[in-house]
Order: sequence, then C-alpha cells, then structure tokens
Amino acid sequence: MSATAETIADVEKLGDRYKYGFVTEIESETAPKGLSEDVIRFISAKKEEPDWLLEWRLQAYAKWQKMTEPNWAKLGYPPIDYQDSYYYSAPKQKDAPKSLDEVDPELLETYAKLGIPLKEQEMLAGVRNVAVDAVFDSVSVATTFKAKLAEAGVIFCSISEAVREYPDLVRKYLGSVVPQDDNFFAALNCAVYTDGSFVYVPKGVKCPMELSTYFRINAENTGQFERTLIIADEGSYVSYLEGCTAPMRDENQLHAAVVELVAHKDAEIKYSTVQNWYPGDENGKGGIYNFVTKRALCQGDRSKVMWTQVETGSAITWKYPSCVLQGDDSQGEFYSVAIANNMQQADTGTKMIHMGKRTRSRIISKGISAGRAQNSYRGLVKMLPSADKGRNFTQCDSLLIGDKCGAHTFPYIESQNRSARVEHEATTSKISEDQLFYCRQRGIGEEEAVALVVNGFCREVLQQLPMEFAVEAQKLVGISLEGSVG
Amino acid sequence: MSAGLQTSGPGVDAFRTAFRQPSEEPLWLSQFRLSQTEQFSHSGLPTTKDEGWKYTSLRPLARAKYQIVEACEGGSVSPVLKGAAQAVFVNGYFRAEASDISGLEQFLGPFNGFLKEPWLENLVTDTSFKYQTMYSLNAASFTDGFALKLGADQQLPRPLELVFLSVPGDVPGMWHPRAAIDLGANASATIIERHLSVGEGAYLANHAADIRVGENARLVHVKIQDEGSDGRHLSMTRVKVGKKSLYDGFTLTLGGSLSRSETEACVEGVGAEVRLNGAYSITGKQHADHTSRINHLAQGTKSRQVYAGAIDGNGRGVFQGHIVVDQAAQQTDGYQMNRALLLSDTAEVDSKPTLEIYADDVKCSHGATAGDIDEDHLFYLRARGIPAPAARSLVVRGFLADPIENISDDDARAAVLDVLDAHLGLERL
Repeated sequence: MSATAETIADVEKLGDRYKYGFVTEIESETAPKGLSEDVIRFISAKKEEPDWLLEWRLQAYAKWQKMTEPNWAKLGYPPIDYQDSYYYSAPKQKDAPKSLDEVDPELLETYAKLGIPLKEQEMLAGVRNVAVDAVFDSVSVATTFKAKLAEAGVIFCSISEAVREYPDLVRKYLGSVVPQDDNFFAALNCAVYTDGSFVYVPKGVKCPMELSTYFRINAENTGQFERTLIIADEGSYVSYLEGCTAPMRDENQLHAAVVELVAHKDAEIKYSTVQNWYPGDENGKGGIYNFVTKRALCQGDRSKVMWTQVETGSAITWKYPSCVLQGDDSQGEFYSVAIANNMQQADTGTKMIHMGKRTRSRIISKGISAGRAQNSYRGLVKMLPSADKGRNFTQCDSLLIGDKCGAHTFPYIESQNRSARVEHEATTSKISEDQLFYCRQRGIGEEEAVALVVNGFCREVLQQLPMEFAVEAQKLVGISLEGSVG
Repeated sequence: MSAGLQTSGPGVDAFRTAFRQPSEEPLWLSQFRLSQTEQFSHSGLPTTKDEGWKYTSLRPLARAKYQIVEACEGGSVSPVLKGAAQAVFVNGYFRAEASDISGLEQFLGPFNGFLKEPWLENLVTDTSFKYQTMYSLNAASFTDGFALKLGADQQLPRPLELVFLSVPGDVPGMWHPRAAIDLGANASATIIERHLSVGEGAYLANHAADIRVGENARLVHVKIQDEGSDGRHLSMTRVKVGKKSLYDGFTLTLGGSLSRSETEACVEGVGAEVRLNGAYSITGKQHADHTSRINHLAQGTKSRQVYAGAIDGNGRGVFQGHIVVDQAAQQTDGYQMNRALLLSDTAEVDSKPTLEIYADDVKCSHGATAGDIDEDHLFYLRARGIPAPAARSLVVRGFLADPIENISDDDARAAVLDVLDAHLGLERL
C-alpha cells in the first residue's frame, strides 16, 4: 500500500484545509477484495473467533443478501459496488503489543498528528483522565489506562478481545439492541465487522474517567465496519467519546458502523461523537460514505442515555442515533450539530421511542449548510400507548450560508397516548447579516466572524460535550466552514 | 378502459369500470383522460410504503367494489351562509333544479356544458404539479362537476355555496366530482364547499379541483366536510397563485370514516400568499388526514398553515405539511403548525411537518404538539359552575377556534364556527 502522488499533490494544494488528510505508510494485511462467505470466514479466522460468532456473521450475511439498500434518505450518490472494497485491513505486526512502547512508532506519530498523543496522555494521567482505545483501520491497536479501569471493575477493550475474554457478556448483548436485519447497513456490519470497542461498567460503578476511541481509516479502498457495545449495569455511569478521521483520498470509502448501548436500572451513558471523516474536495471528489446505526436501549427504570454529536466530516452521512425508552422514567437526549459544506450531504437525526411510563426525551438539533451542500434533519418521536405521561421536546434549527445549499427538516411525530405530551419546533433562517456586520465592525475577519456566529448558534449542543472536546469541536466548526464565504 | 396497458398497479382492477371512454369530449380532454388513465393504471392505489401515504391506508378501497352511479334526484339543503348562491350536486352530478344560482353567470355547470371553453384546457392540463394518483383516478373517471370563471376585476356578486350531497344506495357507489376555478387579475370570490350525506351506506367521493388565482386576486375557499360514518372522502386541490394574490383555504373535517384533504399550491407570483388552515374533530374509528405541499417558487412569497384537531374514541388524525422553497424564492416566509388534542386512551395523531429549503434568505418555521386537555383549563371552567361535559366541549371549541380565526372572510368564519358549535353541542357564544 502506498500513498499516490496525486493524493500528496492534493494535500499540498489544499494546504491545511483538511489537516487530517495524511496517509500513514504502514504495512497492512488485507483480506481479498470483495464480499463472500469466504471473506467472512477469513475475517473470523483472523480474529480467532468462536464458532457461534462465525455462524452469527454468516446468518447476517445471508439476511443482507436478501435486503435492498435504503433510498428514502435525501442523499444522492452513485451506486456502491460492495464487491469493490476490502473488508479487512490490519496493520501488520509480528506480535501483539504488550504496552504502548511496542506499538509501531509511525502509528503513534499518526495519532500525535491527530492530536491524541497517547503517551502524553498516559503521563498526564493525573491531570486528565481519558482512556483511549484507538482503532486504526479495523484493529484496536492499543488501549490505555486499562489498569486503572480494571481497578474500578470497568471493562474497556476492543470487541475482539471481549469476544475472547468475556464471551458470555458479548453473546448476551451483541445484536440485542440492533438486530442483525435491522437495516441494510447494520446487516452488512454484522457480517464483516472487524473491530470496535467494548465497555462494561458493573453495578454501582461510576467510571473514573472519560473513555475515548479514535477511529481512523487509513488503507486504500477499505471499508471500516466497527462495532461498539456499551453496557452500563444498574446504577452505573459512563461517558464515552469517539472521534473519527480519515486520510484524503480520491475514491470514496465506505464506513458502516453499529453502536449498541444498554442502560440498566438507574444507569447513565453519555455518548459523544466528533465525526470528522474526510468530506471530499470542493467538487465532491472522494470522501467517506458514512452509514451508521446507533441505538440505545434504556432498559431499566430511571436509566438515561445522552447522545451528543458533532458531524462535520464525510461526503455522505446517514446516521440516526436513537433511544428506545423501555424502562419507566427513563430518559433520552440527543444533541446534534451537523455541518455540511461544499458538496457534502448529510441526512441525520434521531428516533425516540417512548414505551415506559413517564419517559422523557429531548432533541436539540442544529444544522448548518454552506457551499452546495444538502443537510437534512430526519427524526421520529413515537409515544406508544404504554407511554403514560411521556414527554418530548424537540427543537431543530437550520442555518443557511449561501444560496446554493439546502436545509431540510423531516420530523415524524406519532402519539398514541393521550397523557403524553409532544412538542416540536423548527426554524430555518439565513446567517444573520447584523451579527456578521457587528463582528466585522470590530475588525474580525469574515471567515472568523462566520465561525463565531455559527459557534453561537451551536452553543447549546457544544456545551454538552466534555470540556476538552468542546474546545476542539469549536475549532472544527471554524475549519469546516472555511471557504464558505466570500 | 384503454387498450395496450402493459402494467397494472395495486387495486387498479377495482376501478377499471370507472374509466371513461373518449366520447364527445374535446380532443384535449380525451388525451388528458388517456394519459391520466395510463398513469393511474401504472401506479395503482398508493400503499403505506409510499411516503405521502405512510399514515393513511387505501387498501379498503380496492376491496369495496365501488360502482359508478347514474345521476339521481336529491333533496335541498338550507345554506349556512345567508344570501349565498347555492349549487347542489348529488352523487357528483350537478342538480340545476335544486340549486339557486340566479344572477351568477360566472358559475358554469354541469361540467360537460362548457368543456370547450379555451381557458379550461390550459388550467386542467397544467403540468407544474407533482403526480398524484387519486387525482389521476378522478381525471380518468369524472362524469360531472363545475367551473367558476371570474374575469379581470370581477367580484363574485354573492358568496357561492357548493353542496356535495352523497346519497348512498344498495351497492357501494363512487363519484369523482371535478372543479375548475379561474380568477382573473384583481378578481375576488368567497366559496364554501359543504360535503354532506343522506342515509346510511358505503361510498367513495373522490374530488379533484384545479384553481388559478390571478394577479392581485383573492379567493377564500372554505370546505366543511360532515359526511356520514360510512363515507370515504378524498380530495385533491391544486392551486396556482399569481403575483400579490391571496389563496385563503380552510378545511373543517367532522365526518367520514376515512377522509383525506390534500392541497398542493404553486406560489409562483412575487409577493403571493397562501393560507391553508384547518380544524378537525373526530371520534369512533374515524381517520382524518390533512396533507399539503406548498411550493414557493417566487420571491417574497408567504405561506401560513395552522391546523388544530381533537381526536376522541379510536380516531386517528394525520397531518403532513410540506414546504418547498425553490432557490429563486428568496425572502420566503413559511409557517406551519399542527396541534392535536388526544381525548381518549385509544386516539392517535401522526404529524409530519417538513421543510425542504434551497434558498438562504428565508424565514421558515414549523411546529407540532400533541397532548391531552389541559386540566387547569377544565378546572377553571368547573370552578365557575360549568358541568364537566360542557367544560370539555368549551375547551375543545377554544382549541379548534384558533385556526378558524384565520379565515379572512367574516361571514365564512362565522359559518364555520356555527357548524363547529352545532357539532360540539354548544350554542353559539
């Protein structure tokens, strides 16, 4: 595998517009191109998986073959050839690393460029406790802070390791929130997922630090199919952050992830995402196709799940983090900022399914469209007959920068319970000339002014992020909108 | 039925007998019918997999074996609007002898009588609207209807009340009445449509209307649907509004087992305004669907949609409002709102207020709410000695009156409130 001259040239041409657009030269091991039962067997064998998991994958593959790709989203892209992609790519290494020191230095450098210096973080552990499980292409490379977490009884490891070490837990929960045939992309993920993170927080434990995973797609023509499973047992708490980047490449890369969260009685899960996959260039060449299924089951009474997402990357985003509010008094929250610039297309939102009594949900969505991008909010709020005194509040705001982009809102509000109250409101407007003028008058450059106004527009969501990431997300908002004015 | 149809969509066979053969109609109409027949035969009845019909199933229609009926006699109905002209239709056929349209030369009926009017072809065959399957079925099958033509600067001397009376017989009948309304520049008119039925029995009324509101013209178009419990009522209204004109549409839905009132508006004149408001009060197994699509195509246009519904029993209310703002439609101001009261444990409401915006200098917003009656409101009235059932009706009335207040014609607004009060068992306050 090597970086093409064209890519390098592109990088130089674009300067620091997409500062994560570098390719790391690491020898990697790939499965044959295309998708077949054999490839799935190959992946499963490589990962030394038990028979039940291989069977489960093959079952999903059989279901996937009978399914058709959904076309209801407001997205336009050429048909994806699922046989023209590699489904397994792992950084080549002689032995599994025992500590960070054994990890390929080039790899560590990549992460340093990404702004997550693992080593430094370990050193600064006393100052800032963030455990990082870095997923490079498909294999979880290193997990930090394991010892400290183990002390608290928290399991935080790659899902492959979890399959080996905690098979009963994985078997119990895998596919329990997102069934194999939930949708086309989820089925594909079940068949070919290569790695991802696994978190189990035992009863009554408040996870002592923020958990974090950094996903990065490196190899050419590879799809990344990660799988995340987080279980918060009774009365526990965990905050989890994932960040995503990918190098700049001319061809489109496929990313189809599945994230399952289970919150038991009185448990709380906070899941934050900063998604900054390569969005393609100004003319829509290249970029990640991001088809993600994320769902949380608030199974126990008084459980709570909070999704926060900052979506600035990807050529195509198809993502609806959802909450199934099964336990009485359970709560779901969704805070989202989605920025689409140039030729990006985003169709994202949430689903809040109220089943239990007095379940509450809150949706705050901020969409920003610039360039020639199309940005859609799509959400469902459903009050089932059992959701006595359920409560939902939804606020969706869209901001348009320039007259060639589009901002769309598609909410579905279904109520089958008289005592439930649902409120939805949405607005769409242009970026305020007055606010821009005010900034300009004070000597703030035009792009900076836009970034400032947009950050103000997103504040309600950004402040839900853990602090360090909120700062980074604010910068990202500015970077994503570069070139959108003037 | 035309020959050479290769494909056949779901439920088409149930309607084949309704397709009209090209007869003595003008060539344009024969061609129009043929193309619409082909389109309907191809797509068939929509299913709940079609996004626009997600919440309303037409499956029962294919099983009901509706038959086209011949013209029949029908009684008269006292008008809700004093001094209004009245045109009566029975099972889709215009009944001149039951109508009072003296001095209203702008009213043209029956439909067959004026098919050669040149403006009609232009209006009916307009292709700027999205394909709509039940509209096509109407076009393929209609036997009668009316037209209303106001020249430039004309004002309709009296408001016009259109009474669509359904008289079901022994076998389930179907009728596909058609309307064409054209207002010239600066013209103005107020129309009230009333949809009623006499006696018990199943039927399908599938209405279609093409409306053009000229430059600076103003049309108040109120519809009151209070049909019987076995009636199925579908209507598709297509409106085109010119520069600085106003189309003020309102729908009150009280009756029918299944009803859907759908409007598509093309706001193509600079500074034009479209209002689509509505109120519905349903119970039992009633299903009431209000669907709209407003295409903002010109600068400085405005749209307002406010719907309020009270749903009791096993009723189900559906609201789908779609606003599309074209890239050229800068300074668009769009608003839509659906509020629903769920009055029983088995009532359901589904709202889908959607925005599709391609211009940046716009102000668009929408909202939706669903919930039970506010206990505080009831308490306030009970504390003043009003018995519980009356207090409930009063709260419902207040809730439903909100969109009614938006009707710009005073008499029409009062008439709608009268009908609502009678329905809720309240005296006019």
